[in-house]
Amino acid sequence: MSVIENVYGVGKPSREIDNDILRPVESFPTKLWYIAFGMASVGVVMYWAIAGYSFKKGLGLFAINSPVGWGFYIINFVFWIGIGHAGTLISAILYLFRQRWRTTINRAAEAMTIFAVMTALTFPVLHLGRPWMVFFFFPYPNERGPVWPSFRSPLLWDVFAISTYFTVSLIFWYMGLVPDLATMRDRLVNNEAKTKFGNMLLKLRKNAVNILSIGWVGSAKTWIHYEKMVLILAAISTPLVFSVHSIVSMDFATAIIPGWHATIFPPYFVAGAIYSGFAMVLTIMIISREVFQLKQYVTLKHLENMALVILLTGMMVSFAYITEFVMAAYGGNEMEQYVFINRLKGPYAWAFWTMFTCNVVSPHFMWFKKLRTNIYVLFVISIVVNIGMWFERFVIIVTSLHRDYLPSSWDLYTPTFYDYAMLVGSFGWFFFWYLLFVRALPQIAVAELKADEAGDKVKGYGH
Amino acid sequence: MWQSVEAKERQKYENIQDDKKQEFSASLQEMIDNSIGYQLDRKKFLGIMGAAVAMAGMKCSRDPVEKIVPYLVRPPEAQPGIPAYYATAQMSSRGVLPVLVKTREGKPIKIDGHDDHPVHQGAMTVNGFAVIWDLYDPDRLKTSKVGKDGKFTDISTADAVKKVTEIINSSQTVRVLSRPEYSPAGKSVINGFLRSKPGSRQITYDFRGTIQSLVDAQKKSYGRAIVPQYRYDKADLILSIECDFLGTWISPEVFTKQHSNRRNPDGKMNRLIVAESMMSLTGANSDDRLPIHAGSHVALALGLANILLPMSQYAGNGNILNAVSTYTPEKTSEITGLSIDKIKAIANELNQARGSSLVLGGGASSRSEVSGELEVVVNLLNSILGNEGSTVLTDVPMAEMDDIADNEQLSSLIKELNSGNVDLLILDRVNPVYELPEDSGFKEALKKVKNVVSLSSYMDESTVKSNVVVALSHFMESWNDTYYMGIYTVAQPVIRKIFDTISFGDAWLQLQGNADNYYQYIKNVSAPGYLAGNFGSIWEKTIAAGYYVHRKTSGYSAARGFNAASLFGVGKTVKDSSGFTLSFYESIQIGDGQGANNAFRQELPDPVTKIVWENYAAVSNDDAKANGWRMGDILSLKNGNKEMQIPLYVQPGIPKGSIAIAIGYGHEEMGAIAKGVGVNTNTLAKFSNTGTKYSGIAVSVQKVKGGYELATTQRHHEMEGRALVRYAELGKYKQDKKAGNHEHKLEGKGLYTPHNYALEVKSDVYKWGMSIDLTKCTGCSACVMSCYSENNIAVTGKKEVWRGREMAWLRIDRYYEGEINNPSTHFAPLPCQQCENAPCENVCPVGATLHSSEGLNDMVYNRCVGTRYCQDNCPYKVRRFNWFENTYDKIQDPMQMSLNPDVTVRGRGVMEKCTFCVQRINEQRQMARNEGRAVHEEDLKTACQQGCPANAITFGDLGNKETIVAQKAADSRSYRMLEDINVKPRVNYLTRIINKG
Repeated sequence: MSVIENVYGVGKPSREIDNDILRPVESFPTKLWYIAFGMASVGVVMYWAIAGYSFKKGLGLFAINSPVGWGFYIINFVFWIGIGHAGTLISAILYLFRQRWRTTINRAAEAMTIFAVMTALTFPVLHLGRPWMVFFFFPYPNERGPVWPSFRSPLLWDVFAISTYFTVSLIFWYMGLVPDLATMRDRLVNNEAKTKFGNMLLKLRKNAVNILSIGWVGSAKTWIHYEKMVLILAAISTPLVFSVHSIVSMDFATAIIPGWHATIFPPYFVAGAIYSGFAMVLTIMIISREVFQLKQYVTLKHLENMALVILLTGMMVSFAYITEFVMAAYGGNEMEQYVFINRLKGPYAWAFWTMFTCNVVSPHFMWFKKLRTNIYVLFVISIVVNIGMWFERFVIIVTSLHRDYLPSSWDLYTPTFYDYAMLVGSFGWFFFWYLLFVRALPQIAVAELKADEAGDKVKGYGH
Repeated sequence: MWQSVEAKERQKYENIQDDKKQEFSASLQEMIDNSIGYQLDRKKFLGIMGAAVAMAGMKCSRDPVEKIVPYLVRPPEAQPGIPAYYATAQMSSRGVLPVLVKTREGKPIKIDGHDDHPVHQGAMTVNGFAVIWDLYDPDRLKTSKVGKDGKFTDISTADAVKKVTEIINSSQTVRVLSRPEYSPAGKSVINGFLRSKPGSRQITYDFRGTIQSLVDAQKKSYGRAIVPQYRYDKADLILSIECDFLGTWISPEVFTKQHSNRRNPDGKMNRLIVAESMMSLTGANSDDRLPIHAGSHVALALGLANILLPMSQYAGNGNILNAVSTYTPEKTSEITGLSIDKIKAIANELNQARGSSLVLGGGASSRSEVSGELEVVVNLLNSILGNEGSTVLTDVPMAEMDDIADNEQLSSLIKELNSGNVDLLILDRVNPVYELPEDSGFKEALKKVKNVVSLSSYMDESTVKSNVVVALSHFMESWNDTYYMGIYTVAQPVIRKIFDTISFGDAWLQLQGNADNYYQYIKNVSAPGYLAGNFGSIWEKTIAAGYYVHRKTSGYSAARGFNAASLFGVGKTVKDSSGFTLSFYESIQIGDGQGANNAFRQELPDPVTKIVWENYAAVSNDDAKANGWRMGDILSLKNGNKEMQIPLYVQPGIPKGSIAIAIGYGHEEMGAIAKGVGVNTNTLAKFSNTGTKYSGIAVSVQKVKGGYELATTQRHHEMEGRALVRYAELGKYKQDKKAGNHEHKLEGKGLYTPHNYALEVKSDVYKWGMSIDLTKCTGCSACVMSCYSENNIAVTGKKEVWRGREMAWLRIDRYYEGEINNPSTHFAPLPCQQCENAPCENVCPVGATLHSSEGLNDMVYNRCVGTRYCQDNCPYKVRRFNWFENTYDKIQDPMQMSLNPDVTVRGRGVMEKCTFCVQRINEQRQMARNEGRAVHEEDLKTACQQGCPANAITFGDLGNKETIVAQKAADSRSYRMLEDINVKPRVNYLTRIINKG
């Protein structure tokens, strides 16, 4: 067994690690947090107010029309599902591959996954013409015949794929939290608040942590069971990383619309999802490590690793783009060819070129060590990549639909105020939850980190 | 299932309780025996029976029951759920349109063509279908009004008539302004009034000028004010100069029917040449289209006459020679913008087709300072070519219109009004304030009249300026009679008056103190002049059948002699203008603007430009480029001190320097729909004693600040090299029956196993399919209107159409091809293609769209949750989504009565699309099952098929090789749109064949 130096080691006693990581949870929020949370709340209110208005008035508020029957809602949906990809990848696949640097980022990434999927899930429901009939999607014995949903529809596959993904991600995330919740419980025992009201809240918190930590004692036996369960959950999650976005891509790939009807879509979408997911983790971690003073835990080395993943997946995505064009040219289908020419120079060429610049050009800065270890460059590129990925979905959905088979039905898609407001509001909704998360739960898996640290002391790293 | 109602009535009175069989066969047999020389088929039988039901209710012998009472005991003839059809006739300034009105539970819900009518043969127009919504228009006058200076108070119509009578009695000079009348009873009832009131005079004017200039020219050229019968079915070569006979000219539905009979590439196909300054429907359908400068049409006609004259019997006529001699091919070419060769070639073609050609001219876009100028030269051309008596028939004219005032009479009326000597002006169903050009000064003159009485259905621009408004009933609420094209019709009401209104005939009778009602008047005074034989029975049968053939001969021999003097003054007005020249045309959807307060008309895309809810200045591509104008700019058109501002539309096919604008828009009053839509062209129209100028008005054009969004249903105009509308020239087709249709079919494999209909077998299994003949289709859009009416399709308004959210289940795609300055135009109606491998079906997550056992792609509204995945995946984009609540939130009483109870009204959030009129299929299938037979192809017609005046649409069972639709599907011209993507549509198209001569 080789002994590998733990380059990610912090070299601090457990107590100090606890103090560092649990500080945001155990202290009062800062002004900055209040400002951020206030803004997010405004977004949430706007989001649900518009959702309620469209529920009452109809989807005509948005820009969708014939032929562009899907617009911002589905773009946002695919975008957020894509964001939600990094979490499971980090917690499951990197776990199985024993990638040690995942330890300090997996908790935040998983939380991000949960909230991103929660955001994404609102869209397909709100974009229904009759959202109150959403239960028609679920196959359960009913009095209507029984009438079952149509299992041939990729939208139904979505229902299963995403609900499975969400459930498994949530369980995985929660299971990872249990030892940390126990730590929180133990640290809260002797705490006293100054006021009666404060004590009441503290009691509430103590009870909550008590219940959620489900009697964790931290014995060796518990740890053995725990490690096994994590392994099993990781194994279960791994295929989901690939299945969810593959199935989401089939919404398009199984349709006959030129620009959608492509067999490359599943791997292409998965790569794109990891790409955007990592970019989002990077964005969030760069802010977190700055604000919550976690620089020694989330080091430049961590960020650099993520940058490399972005470079890799970015090139995979670029390869997929090229493949699409080559297939269109080679396939000899005039409709297909037109769609790709239209992407390059049609009315939405600006969207394509935005996407191209953001997704194909920008990751290549990561080849240079100087750039990929520069916080500012990383931060900008992580945001640019996500802008590009949003535009990728825009290009796929809007440019394919707006000019399909019959030129007579060709039309443009001009987003309305409500479309933009829902896009902005969805970020509010996402950060609303994320900001609550950073105040309520440890952002870094404390127990895992401590275990890594302890392992170093005993025999170095290596299993 | 049908019982004769007369028989029922008789049974009641004669107290015969038994022996029903004998009783109802007796009258039926009688009817058949006496039926007017035409074979009685099922359709006609229904028509007669339906009408009979109406008659029973309307008989004058019955006590007038004024109160509506619920059916405590249901009359046996009223079967809930079974429609009754009544034959009646719709009259407009354009002419007479015989129709069958379908009623359900007493409410008219749809208008259909009258298939058995000897002339019309079921032909319909957009307007014909749209009047159903006029009947239920909430903006229609609900009661009469009295008022002054635009402030009105409601009074009952009976009181209003009394009040008008008082005014008449106290007035010395009375003038009646009315519109062209095709009703003999209507004419004589007004004449009766004029006789009863000394000092009264009537002036009839034709707003659009179509009839006015035609009869003016007929009077000048041949002596009498008749409208000849132009026989398109007899002409091998048709030359139309500015005459949109397929769209708006006189009776386009009849002309379309006749013309389409000759659009048969396997028979003797005709050839259509159109010379025009705008892009009309006729021009779009032409085999050869010649764009000419606005206002140069007379020069073209004279130029052709100049070439053709030496070869004719009029060669020696010095007067004619004088008139045409200056129009040498060179000069004609200079004025019109056509090449000399082209002019000579057309003349040569006409010469070759002597006696079997037809030259037409007229319509709004040809109105010049001299009324009937173009028509006179067209008369000359037809006389020269020997078409008189062969394609221009005058023995039984379409109509005799000797009472239409010329502009001189109109201006003397205006002078008279201005002098303040007129005590009373009665506006009878006219809106002169809106209709007459601004410079006629009518609006100002009206203020000088002591009393103005308006007989109107709307508070329009003229009505608001009157003192008493008598609310008139809709034609479906009133009795009337018509005589048109040798057919006498007694038009019966089909519903009791919805509001407190009076029919125009009754109003006139009461104003002259005649105690008869209009029904009695028609029966006793008007009808006996037309109905021969046993009046009593013929009368009833005429009402029931909806027509009576009465060929009132004009006394003209086969060919009339052309009066050369009529050419005096012709061609003087032709100027070679170097700036922009403007012409006005009539649009198919809005027409003269009388029906502008109808959202369905407004939302029907213009068949050529596909723009809705608007008129616009159509300019040529060259002019737009040269001046840097773009679609959506606003242009200011100036002539003298008159100016109008109007959005610009770049229209391929318009010659450089010409601008075309539709009339009928820009209402300031009338109702919520019409108000403020578009621009009124009468600002720039020129009124003079000799004629109203609509064409060739010189204008200076400037772009003004601001932009405008024109709403259109089609934003891309080229086929992008895709074989969507396939076409070939006739010559090529004669050599190769598959000409233009050589795209090979790809047999692909689907993901899922094909539908196995054998598994779902019932005794009667049909494979419904449709065939659309693109050679016959003119794109007139009557099918679209029929579909709207049949299927309760909602209108959405301009903004929504702009967003791309129109709800039309059936749309007509229009593609341009070739040179942008004179493109060839192709039309393709697109209903749901009912694909065998329907891409919409697989993707629906809730199974709301499914394949039926008869191959239809069914839509289950209740199940639909509105993912719109089906719409995205439809390669034809025929699915329509309800983005808002389109019906329940917007419908106003009594509009709901127009809804077809057999078709679900779709709520918000569900997808909808063409069903192949599944309600009609179900009805016929059930009837056939009851009778133990298969559905007869001729019984089952989809709404679009029924509405098509060109017989371009065929529907039926593809599984039965005997059916016409199956034969058409197997034709060498048959193809399926986008067949290479393997969706296997059930709709096939027949290649368009163009006769290039």
